[in-house]
Amino acid sequence: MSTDVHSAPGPSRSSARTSAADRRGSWLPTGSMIATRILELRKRRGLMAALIVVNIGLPAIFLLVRLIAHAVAPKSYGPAGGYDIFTALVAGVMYGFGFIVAATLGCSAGSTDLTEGMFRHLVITGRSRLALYFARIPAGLAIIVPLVATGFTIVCAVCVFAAPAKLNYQGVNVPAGLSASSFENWAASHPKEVVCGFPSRGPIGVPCGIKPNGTIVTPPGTSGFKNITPAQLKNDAVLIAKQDYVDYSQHFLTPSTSLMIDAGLWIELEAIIGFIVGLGLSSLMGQRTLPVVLMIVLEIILTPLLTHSVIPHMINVQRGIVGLATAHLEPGGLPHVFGGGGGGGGGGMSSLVPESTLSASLVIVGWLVVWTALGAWRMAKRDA
Amino acid sequence: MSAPTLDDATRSDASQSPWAVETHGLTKRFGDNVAVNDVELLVPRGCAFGYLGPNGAGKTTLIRVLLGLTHADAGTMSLLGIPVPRHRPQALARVGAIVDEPRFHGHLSGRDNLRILAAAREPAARARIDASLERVGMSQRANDRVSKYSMGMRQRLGVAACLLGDPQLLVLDEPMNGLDPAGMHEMRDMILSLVSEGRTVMLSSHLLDEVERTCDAVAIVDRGRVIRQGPIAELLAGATMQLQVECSSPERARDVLAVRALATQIELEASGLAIHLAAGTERSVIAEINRLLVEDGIAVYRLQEMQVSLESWFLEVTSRLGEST
Repeated sequence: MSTDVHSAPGPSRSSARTSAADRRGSWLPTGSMIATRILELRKRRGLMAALIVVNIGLPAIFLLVRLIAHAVAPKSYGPAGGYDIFTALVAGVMYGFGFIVAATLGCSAGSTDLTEGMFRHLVITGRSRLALYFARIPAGLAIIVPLVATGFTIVCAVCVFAAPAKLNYQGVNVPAGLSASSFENWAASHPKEVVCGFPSRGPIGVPCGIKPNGTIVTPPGTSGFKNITPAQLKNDAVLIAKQDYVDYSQHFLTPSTSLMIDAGLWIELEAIIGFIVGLGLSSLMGQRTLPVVLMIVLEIILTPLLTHSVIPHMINVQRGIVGLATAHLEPGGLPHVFGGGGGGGGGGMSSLVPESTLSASLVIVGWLVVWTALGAWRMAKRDA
Repeated sequence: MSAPTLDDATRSDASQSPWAVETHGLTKRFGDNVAVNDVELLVPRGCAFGYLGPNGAGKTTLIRVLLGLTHADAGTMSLLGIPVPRHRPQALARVGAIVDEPRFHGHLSGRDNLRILAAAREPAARARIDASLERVGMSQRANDRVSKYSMGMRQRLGVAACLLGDPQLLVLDEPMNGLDPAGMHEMRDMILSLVSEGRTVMLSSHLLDEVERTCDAVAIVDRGRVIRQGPIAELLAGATMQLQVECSSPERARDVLAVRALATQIELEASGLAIHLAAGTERSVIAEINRLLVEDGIAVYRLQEMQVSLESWFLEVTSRLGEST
């Protein structure tokens, strides 16, 4: 107050009429409210650093190390990208960690006004408390969605452009994308690699182990050598190829465009759920730390525990867990999250508690609506 | 979910109301504790109004109820003639307030904090940010993080936040808290300048000296109830009068005056007497006391009417008097 307060420019009395355009009683937030809410979140350096590190830094560093290692010693280290790396990163890292950091962002957005004393200032403006709450949703999503998209784009780019030139299936270089008949033809022309390299089920005529000179080595515990005809060897290779085709057909050099799109939308959905639930929970509780802990417990402990085996009389409760619902919406071609076997399209039997796609979708919508309603209700009723 | 809009009749009533703040039977309870008890409060427009009370008297709670930070359990209230909570958004559009210690996002600059608050107000508020910062002398530090601000700077930023809405009514809760003497002087000047522009400033405080220097009218609140309110001059005129008398024989003087029953209370002091007269006592009574003492042969060395301060009056009318004696 070093200036002359009597002469310094001040608010004009002429503007003392409430503008007709001033709809501060409306529950809809204005664009400027959303923009300033983005500003408030964006300038939290620690939080933003954590978001960037987890969503972009972890996959980027992992891929960078692989790129360098492959460039330096290509025989020792495989290509940085490819289908397998893509699926492992998406289902193993980006899904779980993305949820947690999105939840952390939501918990921050839902509680900092309260804990830092700004909520009171905001209420005194006369702006609807619901509008104050709802402004946080697009603001938070405007931060988390692009971050997840950026990290995912990096993963996609590396996995496509640094993919292996040949498909390595069961340790054998196989042409990628063969049809069943082409695969069998290829097996017929590479019988030794198929017989000894590919997994086989049921009675196959030849044991594994082929010496370079063409003699067949019996498995350990048996004695002697056995010579078989090339026709028999070829026949067995074709049989094995038939058995393994389904598995082979789910191995690719690079992730397909449709898989990348589906997977991108899926991890964005997971991040959005994490943010919205975190926002509602922290608004309800009026603090950040405990909701963050609860969200981590939900994602890391409760969801994996409750989604794999049916608990008698509790199956509907299990089906109400949002993590199970999102797992059921996982795109085919990715390994199951939470350590489940098989994949959405992995060919194996899913070990998840069964749930229809419709039920899973309703559970997700329910979680988003209920937590938003709870957070908004608490904000509207809370003493400031 | 939108608040009801202000109809023409309500708008007309609001503009004609002489009161910036008006409450009737306002009550707020926390369990068994009645923090605001049937408060009847009338704050005239265009003045500096002090809301005084001891700690725990319910000052901040009343302000929180008025501003919608917490709900009332009973009673009616209006701000600038607009009934609240029914039309709270419209009422608060022209109200600025600091409640308790002003706190902001510490990781943001003062200017960014004001941007957030301006965005929650009308579109024109954004254009007032620079003027508000300049008015409170914060232009030079506006881009520094609030976490680096002193308490006094946060108080100033709080006032700047109030000014964003071009308020007709400012409600300041203990605005002098944490300020050094120079800061208090500047805050006082700020309040007076705001009042000179026709705005109403309602401030709560327990710093009676500051309120006496700043405010035109006060309300005294004690244990949740408003026990006196009005212009300071009128209230003090209604206070008991006190005379200090230095004389040759204080004990005999006490006996002489006690017989005539002119005073409500006579205290014997080392140098003389302290005589309490009832509120509204004619000044001729002072001359009568002097005459009685002189006629009884008592030498009167000094007879002085003591100016009643807001503080002494406050202590007289609130429960703190009993606690301090």
